[in-house]
Amino acid sequence: MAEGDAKPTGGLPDAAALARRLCGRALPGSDFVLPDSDVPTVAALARSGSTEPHPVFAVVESLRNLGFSIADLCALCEFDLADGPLLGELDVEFEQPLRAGARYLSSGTIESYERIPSRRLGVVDRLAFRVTLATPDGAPVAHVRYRWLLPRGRSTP
Amino acid sequence: MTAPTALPAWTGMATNADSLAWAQVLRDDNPLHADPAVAGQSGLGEGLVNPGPAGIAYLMTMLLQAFPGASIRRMQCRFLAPVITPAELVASGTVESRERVAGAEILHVVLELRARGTPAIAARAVVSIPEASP
Repeated sequence: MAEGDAKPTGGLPDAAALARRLCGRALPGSDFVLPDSDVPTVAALARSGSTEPHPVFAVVESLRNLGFSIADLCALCEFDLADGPLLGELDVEFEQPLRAGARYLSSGTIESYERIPSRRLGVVDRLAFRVTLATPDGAPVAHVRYRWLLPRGRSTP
Repeated sequence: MTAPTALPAWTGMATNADSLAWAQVLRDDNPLHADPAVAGQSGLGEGLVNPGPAGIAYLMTMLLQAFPGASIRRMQCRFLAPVITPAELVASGTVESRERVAGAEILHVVLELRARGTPAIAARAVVSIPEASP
């Protein structure tokens, strides 16, 4: 096993090794167009009557354009999506509104990874990462920072 | 310095269909959003877990309905408990402070989303309202 590999300890992957491997790692990101057809769908789900893209699209597009799936992101953390990751914290900052039909670039970085106790969930790993959405010429549109909770309490040997 | 101002409460209902639809929009295959058995086994509750971004969307909608023409500059959210659908939702907010910056009124708002009467999201938002042209 190479240095930095997350050798299992007591049935759980080694959080310190995961942190060494993941912190600072760039997410692939992608090049995408905010689909016109999704605007009314998200407006209805958000209970908004607006015909403009809802601001939650910054969150939606940041997750849809990590450059890989949410399951892949969990797999990087040696976490099974079936064990149910949870959103712990989110911070979204807007530089300009998102426009339907416009092209954007997403990029991201894993900022931290740590194991914490949780009264309700047992052992939990906390993954922090950020995603920036920008125009094709590099002007930032939105910055989204996440803290996800990965419950490890059920991952007993 | 003005006194804190409570915003009109926003109420709604999040259904199992909403959880499924949000997961589809987000391309999120987390079974907590789609399989009640998984959610039940997780100990989180009986039903489906509404994806977190849905709760953020409800709070954003509340702000934009309270301040037509405004834009949200920032929203910071802490997820206190998952929203298990079906659930009655109540969003509330208070404007804690106001300032004028470069032709806009900037509001600092404290927000909360409750589901089934339990706090689900605590949030702070910065909202920009353009000043009317003379």
